[in-house]
Amino acid sequence: MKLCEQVLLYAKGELNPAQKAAFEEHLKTCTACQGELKFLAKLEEGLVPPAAPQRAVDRLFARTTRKPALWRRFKTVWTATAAAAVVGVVVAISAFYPSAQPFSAAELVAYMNSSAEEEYTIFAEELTDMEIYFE
Amino acid sequence: MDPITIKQDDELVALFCSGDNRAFEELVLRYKNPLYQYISAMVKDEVAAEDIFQEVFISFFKHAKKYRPEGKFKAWLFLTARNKVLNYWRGEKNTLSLDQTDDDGNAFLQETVADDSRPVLDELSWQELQGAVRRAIDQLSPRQQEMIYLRQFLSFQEIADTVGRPLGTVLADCHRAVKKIRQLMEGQTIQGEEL
Repeated sequence: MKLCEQVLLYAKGELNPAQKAAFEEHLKTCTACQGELKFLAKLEEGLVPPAAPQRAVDRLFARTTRKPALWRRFKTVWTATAAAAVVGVVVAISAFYPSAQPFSAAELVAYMNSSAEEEYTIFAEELTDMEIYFE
Repeated sequence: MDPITIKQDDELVALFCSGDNRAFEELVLRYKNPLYQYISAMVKDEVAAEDIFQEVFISFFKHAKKYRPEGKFKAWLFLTARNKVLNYWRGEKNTLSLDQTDDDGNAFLQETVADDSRPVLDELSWQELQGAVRRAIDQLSPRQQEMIYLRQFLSFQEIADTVGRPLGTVLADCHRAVKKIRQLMEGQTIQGEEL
């Protein structure tokens, strides 16, 4: 390979030390290679790669490393399905019983209190029975 | 500095194969810009370029264990991208071919351009220079364009391995491409001056 033919390899730093030294000696007197090197530097400057679109990178990660695991996707689908079913049942009941009124907050609290009172009474009676048994 | 950013490509591939997804993301961040530049320059279509860009990395994501750690990850990545670009062209029934040859530059380096570059090239701003380079490259044959973009990121031997042509042919192609860009850019800047 002639020395002028090594200009691209020299510009890319791909010559071995002996070839490089020989080319640099040649470069001192070869105006064509000097001009070629100067232009190659300019070309490198003008070829700086633009950034890849961020949306492409985001989509890539969403399809690979940040893709939700199978069970998490299943859980999400299951939760959404269950929520939709509950809403559907409520809507259906409302449609069949248009006169039915939902519980008010006060009614709900009163029910819970009465229920708790009843449970306490049962528990106290059971405790009494146990005391009798151990005596 | 995150220690993962200073690891070699092959180390990152090994880490990824052992289940560390951060290694995959580091490889993407490391090569996203040059790879995207190469793909978009080859297909000239933003949507297709983004799709191919993702496909290249998804292909690696799925088949990373098949990669042999020989310090050639970058070349492997560009080879995968090149194959996908060729598939895209086949799918598009595009008449372009990376293997077509150009008419000029029959004598390799015997016609080295003499050092008569016009001073106007030196006076271009960076943005103007980028525009001039892009316009000139757009006028090259696909094969020459590919040489120019690959030359930025791969060694000539790696390019020869990637495109499956002898090193001498690759050097000749690249030289012709550079020569033509120079002629076109000088023409552009002269025209610009006259306007």
